[in-house]
Amino acid sequence: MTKQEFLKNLKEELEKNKVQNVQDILTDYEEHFVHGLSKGKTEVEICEGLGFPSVIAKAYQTESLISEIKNPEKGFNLSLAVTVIGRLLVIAPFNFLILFIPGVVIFALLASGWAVSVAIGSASLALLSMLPFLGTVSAGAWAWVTGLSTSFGLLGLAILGGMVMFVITKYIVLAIISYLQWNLKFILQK
Amino acid sequence: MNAQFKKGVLELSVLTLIGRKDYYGYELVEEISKVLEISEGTLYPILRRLTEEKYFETYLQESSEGPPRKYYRITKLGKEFQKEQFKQWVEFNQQIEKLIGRDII
Repeated sequence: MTKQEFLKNLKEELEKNKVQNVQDILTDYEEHFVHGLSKGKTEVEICEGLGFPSVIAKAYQTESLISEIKNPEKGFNLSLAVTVIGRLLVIAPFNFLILFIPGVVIFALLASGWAVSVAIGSASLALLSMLPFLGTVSAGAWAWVTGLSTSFGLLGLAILGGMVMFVITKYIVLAIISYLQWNLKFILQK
Repeated sequence: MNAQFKKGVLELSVLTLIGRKDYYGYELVEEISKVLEISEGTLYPILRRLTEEKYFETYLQESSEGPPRKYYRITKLGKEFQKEQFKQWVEFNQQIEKLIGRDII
């Protein structure tokens, strides 16, 4: 490969992988070529040293996903986290084996936790919607008050449950990401 | 050397070398590939991420031979990160040493 071919391929691969700052990145490699040439290397030798543009572009994409997800200023972004996990699983399929069984168990626990809080929430809303009918029954004032407080109590419980589940889900996802980041270093480049 | 080992220590190597003195990209790549046989192009993504994470800062410097060079300099944050990573590396080595010993079989 010549310098021009390398840079052209790299540009295409970077764009294909939706990497940011393509021009900046290409400048780094142009500089690398200039220094290599001035030390008496040929363009072909420099290309061989650098490796495949496709591998390099993948490395940029993964590194930028990692730094984005590590950035505390941006807060927690679930869809980004899912993207990162998906990508890392594709890079290292053996992660499926390690994560599969614990993954199924954790996912089942998370799903049932969410289901319980949603169920409590809908029960409280159902009760709330029945209140007007209770009120019309004679001597129903106490029933009305009891119904109202029960339904608000349940609603509070549901909201609390939802919040707890959100936090738990967030930390589990973050833990999975930390694990994947750790083994990323072992799988990134050839 | 085993490819898996190399990948694990690359980030720490980059942090440590730039911690000792400022490097420009080509020089650093050359220095590292003297010891570790790697796909040199994949060092630049690591440099870029460590710079974005504020562990390094860059500056341009004219040189007598050829074009200006983009130098990488470690920041205070980067030094702390390097120390932390180094500590973990040493601990890891000690644990593995306990496990398998220092003898060559």
